[in-house]
Amino acid sequence: MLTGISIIPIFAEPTGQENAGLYACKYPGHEQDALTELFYEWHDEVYLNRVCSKNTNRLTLATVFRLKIRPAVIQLLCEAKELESLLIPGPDNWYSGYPAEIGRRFEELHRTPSLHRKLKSIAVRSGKNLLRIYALSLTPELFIITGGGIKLTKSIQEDPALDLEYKKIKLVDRALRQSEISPSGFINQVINI
Amino acid sequence: MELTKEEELRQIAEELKLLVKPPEPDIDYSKSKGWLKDALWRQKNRNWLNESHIIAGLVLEALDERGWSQADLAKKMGVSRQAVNKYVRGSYNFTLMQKHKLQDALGIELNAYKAEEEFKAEMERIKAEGLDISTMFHTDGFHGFEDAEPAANTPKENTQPETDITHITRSDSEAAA
Repeated sequence: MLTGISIIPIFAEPTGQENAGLYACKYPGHEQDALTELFYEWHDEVYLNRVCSKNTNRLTLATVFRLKIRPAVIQLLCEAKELESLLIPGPDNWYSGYPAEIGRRFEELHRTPSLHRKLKSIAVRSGKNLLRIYALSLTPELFIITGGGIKLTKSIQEDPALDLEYKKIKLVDRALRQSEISPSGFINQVINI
Repeated sequence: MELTKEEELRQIAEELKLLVKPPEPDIDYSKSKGWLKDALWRQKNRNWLNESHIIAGLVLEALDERGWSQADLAKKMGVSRQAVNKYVRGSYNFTLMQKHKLQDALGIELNAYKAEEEFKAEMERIKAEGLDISTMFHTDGFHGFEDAEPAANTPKENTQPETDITHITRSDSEAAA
């Protein structure tokens, strides 16, 4: 375990034979994986208030609300619920085709450079929504969530926090390739790289 | 000089230290049972959690208006600062006694239903003024990484997406739910 990254199965086919499922990175110094942390933060009033307060210059309706940030917080909370509902697999926690369905809910994040390595960067989105989850796709049915964030700028490069997320995806991609972990290595177990 | 696999992985570990932000210091992640269990719990308890969020929002707003800290409120209520910190997170199951103590300390009514109605009315007022809530932020949707610098060794013919870009709309997600 040289990089300190653990890849945690969030949701995988129990026997692991299908090499399909949703995994998330857990980074050194962190108690939980990236997906768990994101939704913890996105359901936290204090955290959301803090983010919105820091970005009042980007909240165009703030003046309408006499500089209150409540509408922005509510929008983010609603989005978090919607996004979480999209990812929850269903009452039986597994059904055939679920990973592919998850795949359709993600969109291509970047047309290059990883396509020729059969790795794709993707983001969950819904219309004009602001919450983003970033992941690598090893196959159309196998996803590794690397992180996410609140996208308040037009391009990701404008936001230093999201720019770091982009660099993180590329780094996890590199770590996977260096560790020579292929999709067949994902067998519903924690993978330390 | 070419790096060995081990050296490369160690280098990645060093780079990672600069990229990964530390966990939020005031969030207690230890209570999590993993995302899926957390998510199912949140879904099952959505109604009272919504109410808890509204109350937390009202308390935070009141603190802000008064210029009070959470410690000030704790002192007024005669409870610990940690207790107040739990109240304002949006996932606390208040007892009636705690709710009334909060109301008395802040001198406001913590009526989640009324607050929600008032909020909806304000939204309607905004809509009537011709403003679209979806344009609340200075963003016009997804721009992705299109402007990101492609890797230097990426051949041009590989720049096309492997699959069509799928745009999820609210109605899509509702249909899927």
